[in-house]
Amino acid sequence: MSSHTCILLGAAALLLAGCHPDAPEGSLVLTQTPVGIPPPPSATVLDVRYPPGSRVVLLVPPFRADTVRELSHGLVAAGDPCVSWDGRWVYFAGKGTDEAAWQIYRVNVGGGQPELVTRMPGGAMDPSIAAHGELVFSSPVPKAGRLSTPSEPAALYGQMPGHEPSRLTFGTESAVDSTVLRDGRVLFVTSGARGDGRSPRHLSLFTINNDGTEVTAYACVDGGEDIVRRPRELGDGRIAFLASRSEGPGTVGWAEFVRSSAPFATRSSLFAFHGAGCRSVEPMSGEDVLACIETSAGGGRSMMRNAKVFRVGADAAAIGAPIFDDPQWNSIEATPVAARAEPNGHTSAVMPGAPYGTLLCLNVNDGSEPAADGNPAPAAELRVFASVGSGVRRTLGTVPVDSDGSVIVQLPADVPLGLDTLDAQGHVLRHQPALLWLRPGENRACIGCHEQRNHAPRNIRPLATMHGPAHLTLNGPTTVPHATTP
Amino acid sequence: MKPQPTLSVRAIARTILVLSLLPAAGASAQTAPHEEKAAFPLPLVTRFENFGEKDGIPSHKIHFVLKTRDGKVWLGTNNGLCVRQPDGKFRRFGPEDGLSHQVVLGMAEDPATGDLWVATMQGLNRFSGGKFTNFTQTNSGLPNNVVFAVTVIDGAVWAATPAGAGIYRIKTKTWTMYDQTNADFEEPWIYAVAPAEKVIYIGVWAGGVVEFDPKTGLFKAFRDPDSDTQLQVACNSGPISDITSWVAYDAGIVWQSTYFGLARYDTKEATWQTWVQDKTPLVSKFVNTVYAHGRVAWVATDRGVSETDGTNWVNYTVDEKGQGFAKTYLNGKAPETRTMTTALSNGFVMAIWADDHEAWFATSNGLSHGIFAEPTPSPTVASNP
Amino acid sequence: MKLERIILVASSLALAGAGATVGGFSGLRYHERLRSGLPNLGMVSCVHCHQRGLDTLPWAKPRPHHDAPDGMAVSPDGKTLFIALNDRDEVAEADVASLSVTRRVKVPGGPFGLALDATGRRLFVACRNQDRVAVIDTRDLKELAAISVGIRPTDVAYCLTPAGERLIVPNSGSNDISVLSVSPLLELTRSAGGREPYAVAVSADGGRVYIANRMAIHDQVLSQPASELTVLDPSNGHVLNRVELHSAHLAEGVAEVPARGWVLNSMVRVRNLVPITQVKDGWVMSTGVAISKRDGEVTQVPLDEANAYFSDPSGIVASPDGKRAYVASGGADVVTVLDLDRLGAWLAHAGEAERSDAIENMALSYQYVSARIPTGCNPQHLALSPDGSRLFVAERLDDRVLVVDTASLKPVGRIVLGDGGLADPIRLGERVFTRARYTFQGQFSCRSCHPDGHVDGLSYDFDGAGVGDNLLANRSLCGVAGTEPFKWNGKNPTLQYQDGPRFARVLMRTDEIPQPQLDELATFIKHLPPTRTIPWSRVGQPLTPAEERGRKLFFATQRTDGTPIPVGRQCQTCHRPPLFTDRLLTSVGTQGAQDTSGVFDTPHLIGVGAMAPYLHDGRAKTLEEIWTVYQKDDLHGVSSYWSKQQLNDLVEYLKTI
Repeated sequence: MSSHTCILLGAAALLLAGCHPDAPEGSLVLTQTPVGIPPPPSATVLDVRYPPGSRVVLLVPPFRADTVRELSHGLVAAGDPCVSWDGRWVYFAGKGTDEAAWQIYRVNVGGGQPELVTRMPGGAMDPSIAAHGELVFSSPVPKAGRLSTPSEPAALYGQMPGHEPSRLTFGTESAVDSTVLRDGRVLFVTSGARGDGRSPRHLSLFTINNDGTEVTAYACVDGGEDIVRRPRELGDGRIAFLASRSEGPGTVGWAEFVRSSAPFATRSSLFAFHGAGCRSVEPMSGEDVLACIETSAGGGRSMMRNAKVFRVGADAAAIGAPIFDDPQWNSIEATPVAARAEPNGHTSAVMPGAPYGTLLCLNVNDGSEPAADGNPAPAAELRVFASVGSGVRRTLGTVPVDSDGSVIVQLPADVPLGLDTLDAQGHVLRHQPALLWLRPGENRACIGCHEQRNHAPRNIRPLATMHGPAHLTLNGPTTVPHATTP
Repeated sequence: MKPQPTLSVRAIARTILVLSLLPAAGASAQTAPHEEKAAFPLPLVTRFENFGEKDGIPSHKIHFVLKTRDGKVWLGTNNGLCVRQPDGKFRRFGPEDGLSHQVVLGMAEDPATGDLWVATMQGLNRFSGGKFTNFTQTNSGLPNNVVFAVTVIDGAVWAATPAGAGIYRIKTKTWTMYDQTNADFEEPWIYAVAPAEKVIYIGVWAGGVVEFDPKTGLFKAFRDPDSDTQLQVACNSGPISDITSWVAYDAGIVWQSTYFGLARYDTKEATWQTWVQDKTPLVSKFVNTVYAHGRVAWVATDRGVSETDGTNWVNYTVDEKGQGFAKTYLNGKAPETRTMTTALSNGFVMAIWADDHEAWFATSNGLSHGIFAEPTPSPTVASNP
Repeated sequence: MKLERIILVASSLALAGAGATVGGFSGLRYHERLRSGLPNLGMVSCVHCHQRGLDTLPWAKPRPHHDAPDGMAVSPDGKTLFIALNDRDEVAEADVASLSVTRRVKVPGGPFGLALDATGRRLFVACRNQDRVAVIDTRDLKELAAISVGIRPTDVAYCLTPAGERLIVPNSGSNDISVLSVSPLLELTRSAGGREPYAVAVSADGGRVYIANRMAIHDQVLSQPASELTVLDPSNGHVLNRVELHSAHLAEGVAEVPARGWVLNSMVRVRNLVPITQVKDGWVMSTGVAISKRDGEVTQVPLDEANAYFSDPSGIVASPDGKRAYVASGGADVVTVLDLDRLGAWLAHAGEAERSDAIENMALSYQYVSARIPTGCNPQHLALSPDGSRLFVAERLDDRVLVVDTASLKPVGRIVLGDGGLADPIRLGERVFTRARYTFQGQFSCRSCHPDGHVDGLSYDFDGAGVGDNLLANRSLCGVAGTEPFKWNGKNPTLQYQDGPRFARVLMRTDEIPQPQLDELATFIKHLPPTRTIPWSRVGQPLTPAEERGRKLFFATQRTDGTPIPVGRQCQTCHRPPLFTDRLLTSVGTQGAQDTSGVFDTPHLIGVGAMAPYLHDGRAKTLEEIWTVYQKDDLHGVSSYWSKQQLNDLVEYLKTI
């Protein structure tokens, strides 16, 4: 090989290394939003969260304002960084122009031009990464103030590298703020309200598999503050999130957590100190967390407030000093740049093209709450309805309940479904709003109607398995088999 | 001068008899003179305690009774297995508790493990630690679901069924069957099995008594020599009849019960004795079962109980009014009958269990407890029917 | 002319070749029909019937042995630890202070369970592979005496009773419990246990022994199974009580907490009757501890958490002060520490409904679990020093014993027995087999349903196209090498296929096992030898007369009256030796109402005596029932001419295979 060739090859290697160098150990990636800049008119929720000039930056040790390296250059606004599991890529939401929709971009931590990853018509937000590099995000981006009451709810999508996105959620409420748990499920925020029309809108944490199956309440459904955001799984298995009493600009939130060992029973404040003004929490290695909290600028001598980055130990009694602060910016969503264990994958059971899924309930009478009006009668029928858009509800039909309370029915796939249990006189005993969906070919089972949380089923063979399922379609029932009595 | 009253022989004998019926005493040796106690060679029931459905026994019809080493009395009834607990109360076990069928025909205790084996009309059961395990002809090597009797012999459970004898070896969990195809049985219908020291006696319906040697695997059948169920042409020469309803063994003596009389085989002397009704002290020829304790046999018939050592007899009967009688036959002497203040609960006696101190009688109308000695306070005061 | 000749010759040769091919093919097809009795077998290979010998199979060949620790016993002074090394036929003695092995001694027969007498002078060793208990003098490690017990003894306990010294030995293979006197060494009784008596604990007062029976049994396939806690009087072997642990199986550990009057069983709470539509929320199974009280009350409480599982719990020990219990979870590589004060407080205030519901409440355990101690690979047996200060954890697949300081719950070190065997692909495969990480949230491992590679005696309703129509009996993996295809419908041609993507989709609910690990797993499974179902003393011995009669019946080609039995209905046709399967699909008239097909893969029969229940959905509780209850029109072999005696003989023969 000639010396020229060697030199060329060596330069190429250097070039390549320079194009995608790893970030120095201990680096962080975060969002910086300019202090005091208002959101544009007709803003989306991201425009409010990330006003023009917001950027995603890499912060290398030592953390100083002059060592910040912009990763989102070329974009008019960017935010919500998410680091890939190999620690080499950063995904974030950004917009190319003021008029453009927000989309998901990715950039190498070593620098380079951000690449456009999504091309969703209504925009995309809240990137997270599942196993095998699958990008999970929400789309469309709701208008400001409409996150929880959308006419077109944001849904979760999954997009494998080099593939088109596929929709994962089909509920009537927006599914946003996703994160991927170590067990491979996608944890996200949606409304878990009972839908009786009288309760205030209440956000909760739900999970799905990475194919949209097994939608299940995870935490925060019952009680606690109404608004939750940005759930993140910490190293010790806790799920940290932001809580507040309301949404919108100027809302003051704080950090809370639930334990994965008992998520419905362990909701608590994350910090021992007063953590109001918390803008984000991200896990670090060990038991520390990275928290971005608004405090007074300049050490409390000013009326101005900005968000700073803090490293908070597991039992910290006080907030301590920030590890990074630039008074010109709100520094939020700070995330370590490091390789981590990839979450588990999930071999999908979805059968694309199958028009229905199957739902088995082991005992519709098994509920954690009393029936409506305290009606003690057992359920005789299950009525299924679908939400067909704009708040319209279409009844698909009723199926008889077996004598042990079990029922099995095939239902249209990828349609938000709700359930009513009815007594022999047709009175509604229990009502489940249209929060449920079945993916094509999904076989789904539940224990009861408003079953107790985090409960396993009793080991009893349900009578409903002795006969084929009823079949309800969007056009009405096709088959309704006789119920079984032992 | 007035003649002085003298005691006739008859009066003396009567006195002896009355005195001998006084409770045999450990402490009260004065109650019966030594020569009077020794005069009657068989244990005597001095009174009966009777128990029925009102006492908690699940059925009036009791097929079998067994007292286990822990002192509990077990009953096989028409409506379940029943046990008399230490507090005197009766507790029932039925199919809802895991018993294979409510009609219980027999029980046996495994002395090694303390388990109780229960024969029913629908399978064999092991009752152990409060739990039933069922063995049926469909789920095991049991020859037939109708199990008339069960016996445990050296770690093997013998089940007597209409399709042969089924033997379940507890350690190896293997089954062996003997019927007319591989044993000297006239028919497969087996009613009872009784272990001796080295051989096993099997009562075969229409097949007499068959002796089985486990070491050699050989069978030897004892058949009615005159092959006549009604007539006794050749007395004392073999089984009284081939229609064996039960067989028992103890102290070198094999007892055979049939519906046509009773037979006794002295294994040492190789001699037979037979008894029929009317011509012999046997209270009835229709013998359901016989229980051997030492050299005494307790014979359960349709008309009461005979107790004998082959020479001396006591018959316990009850009339329609419930009056009990004890009729004794001392060797060479005329029989004596006395009325008893208590009586068997019913004359149709299905089975008996006895030891040196007491006897239990399973009848078609209740349970009778025959007490030999001075009765100790009973936890439950029973009444006669 | 020459060309014509060439054409003629070529044509003739071609015709001849074609004729030979057709003829050969026809001949082969005729041969298949004749030997199988089936008209349309399709394309089958010769090896379906002309199987290779058993000695060519992986499990029959020599394999590496490892220093995997099993049962342990701590000397009364706490200074010495004895460790059973089943795979090496050895017992190791280690010094606790220095964490070093001081001596090793050969103990033939696969030592598995250990116990010491009160003085520590005599070590009693349950040897699983040769059905014996050996007595070792701890001074010189010489074997003093030995005695045969039941099949595959897995543990031994020593106790002193008013009637004398006793040894209690659970025999997992014969489902009974040997009660031995020590001097002389005699078997006093053989009491019936549950299914697979596995572990034994002695009450503090020596008046009772508790035997954990590993497997659950059920009355019928759709009824709730239960395993048994057997309570024995050690003086005479009489069974005092049989406590039912509902839906509990893999109950491999038992410990008494005398201060509380509790007996604890480690267990898996199985949900086999519920269609497996998901895994989360303990849907397939979860782990727990059963607490049995003297008054008969039993409460099962979870060991798992709402979103994390600690699969395959086995060894369990309780601290002498009754404040803690330790449970080893072999599938999760963790020892869980239970705070018994908190657990007792919960039990005291919980109502009946709460206690009944507890095992289903996956969010309960945080109330009484005080710590989870990470361990090496596959912890199973545990031992506690008499003063409770040291916990010994047998890290089975690391060939080490972890020593934990119970005050701090931190490891103080390890006793190294071997190198871990990472160069052995069979060992690597066993690690895959025992690890729960390949299932969603680590809920279960392969071993959870296949303890020792065998069956768990249950039927499961796997997720298929429908719901509730796929109830299938668990099949043994022991001796499966060479018996492909797999699965009751015969759709899986290899073990890798069996455990690959479809398995990941319907059961594991995670990514499929990576190919290298899948190959290791297959290697391990292929090396699982058949389960021994006869006593060690009978291995290699002639059949008994009954077994021989049964063997002749199995291979019968004609009925007793001389009428020929159609080839397709002879036992030996489908269950062809030496594997006792022709590895083909066939129908034996057992299609159930919910089954979509009545054609099933012919299972191999090696070890069939221990594979209850039987048939594809497990409906036959015993071998007898295959023909007494579920035989239809002689479709499962011609049996209508059999007498009961003949059926009994056949069953005796089948138990020897």
